Amino acid sequence: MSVMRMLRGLGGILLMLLTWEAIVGSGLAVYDYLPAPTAIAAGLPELIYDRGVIGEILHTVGATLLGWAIAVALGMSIGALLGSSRAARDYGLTSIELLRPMPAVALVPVAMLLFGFSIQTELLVIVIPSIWPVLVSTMRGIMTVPDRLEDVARTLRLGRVETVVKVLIPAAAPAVLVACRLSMTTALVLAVVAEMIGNPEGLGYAVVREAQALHPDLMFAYVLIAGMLGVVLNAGLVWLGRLMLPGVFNRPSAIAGSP
Amino acid sequence: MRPLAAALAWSRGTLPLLAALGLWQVLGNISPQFPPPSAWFAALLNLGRGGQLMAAFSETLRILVISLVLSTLVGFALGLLIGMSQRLQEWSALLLEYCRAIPQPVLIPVFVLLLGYSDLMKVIVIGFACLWPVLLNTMSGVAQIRPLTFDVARSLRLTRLDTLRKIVVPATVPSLLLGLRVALPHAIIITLVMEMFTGAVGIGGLMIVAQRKFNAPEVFGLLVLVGCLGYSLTVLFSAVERLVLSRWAPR
Repeated sequence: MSVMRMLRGLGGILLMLLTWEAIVGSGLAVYDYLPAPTAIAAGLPELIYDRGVIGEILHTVGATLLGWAIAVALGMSIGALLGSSRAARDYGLTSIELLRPMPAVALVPVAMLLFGFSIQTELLVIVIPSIWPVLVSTMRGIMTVPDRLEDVARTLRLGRVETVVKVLIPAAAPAVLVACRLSMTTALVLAVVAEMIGNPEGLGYAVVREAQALHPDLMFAYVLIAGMLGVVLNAGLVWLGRLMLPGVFNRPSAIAGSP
Repeated sequence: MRPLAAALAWSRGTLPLLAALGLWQVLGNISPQFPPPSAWFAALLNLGRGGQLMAAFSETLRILVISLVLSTLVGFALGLLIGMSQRLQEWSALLLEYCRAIPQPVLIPVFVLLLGYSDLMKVIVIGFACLWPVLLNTMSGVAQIRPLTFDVARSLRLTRLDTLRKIVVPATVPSLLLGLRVALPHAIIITLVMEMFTGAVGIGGLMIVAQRKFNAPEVFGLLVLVGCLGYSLTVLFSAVERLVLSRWAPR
């Protein structure tokens, strides 16, 4: 049954590609720079041998994962602090609520003033917006831990730090993991943005470079690869989540991630 | 007394932010890249006096609103269409999964190449990015309607259109709002990136020009402005959401 579903899904993609091919082939498309899927596929060898696409993919993946890891670490620690301390919430929460809706891309010019065209620019732009989902869900997760568990911690005479590490964080883990996945989507989007405007490396820059060199076939190939990367990173995280917390990730999520 | 206490508690929370800004101001010009907050506002006022700021601000808002409205209409309609048909759902599942996973900013150079520097390009770039959260959430909203509800529609002999109008649409509105909540920050981000990338008239365009001139006070001032824009749009959206949900309570 699910094989049939898979086949139909692939059929849908095939149908889309065929329509695209037919529209371009028949000359119905009025756009000068819209290559047919076959032309895009024909550009793939050039991408691998001439442009070093593997290195570009690795750069984008590396920056995304590094920025994401930093953001998760920061988000979880600040979130744990805010979730477990009333005073920290009283004095910190509004500041965070004011900073959180700041569109992250606005940081690109600031980061470029500070670091120029460099990987630091890229990381700064990736890390800050990726912190928020993890921070908020860690905080909420800890705040909604049942009182019973806190009583257990008290009965076992756990210290404050031990309570947070051994009881509160594990209890908040499902919500935090979902947020980590959301953060990953954000991190990838911001990595690409930073590469397009700030740090001229990786897939984001490659798309811009090919567009400006008027190589639409290569540009589309890069776009398709960026999409694949999104699928793979997301699937990897879902797989990791299932491994760590069976039961939480079993429902396919229909809610799209957000930056 | 209550609102006053709430306001006090709220403003107490802004203390770290204000303290940081105050300290920054007192320390003054640490380096040319870190101008003190007073310089930011001076730079903003300067931009405002030239009339550039207002023009950029209204252009950004205009494009943002048009794109959001269009992607809401298209996304909601497509979401209902796909959501109500099992066959369409299966055939489009992988395609949608893929389109959603593309980091949307890479499409900016693509649409610039195809459509040129036009309003159409801007609206399509932003609209395309916002389409997926709206569409996918609408679909999941339709999927959450209990099958029994459709049996009721059948026994009442409602036509397909009436079922849509009287049952499906009202039941999906909360999911649509959820999708829009995700789409709104998407829209702001893509708008700014598009403006930065193309140097178009708008806040993003102003920011990139200021950065290229190494005009740090202007960059920071515009950053604050963008932050305010993001914050007020979020607050505005929450208000609209509450208003709508008071009519269509989620069930």
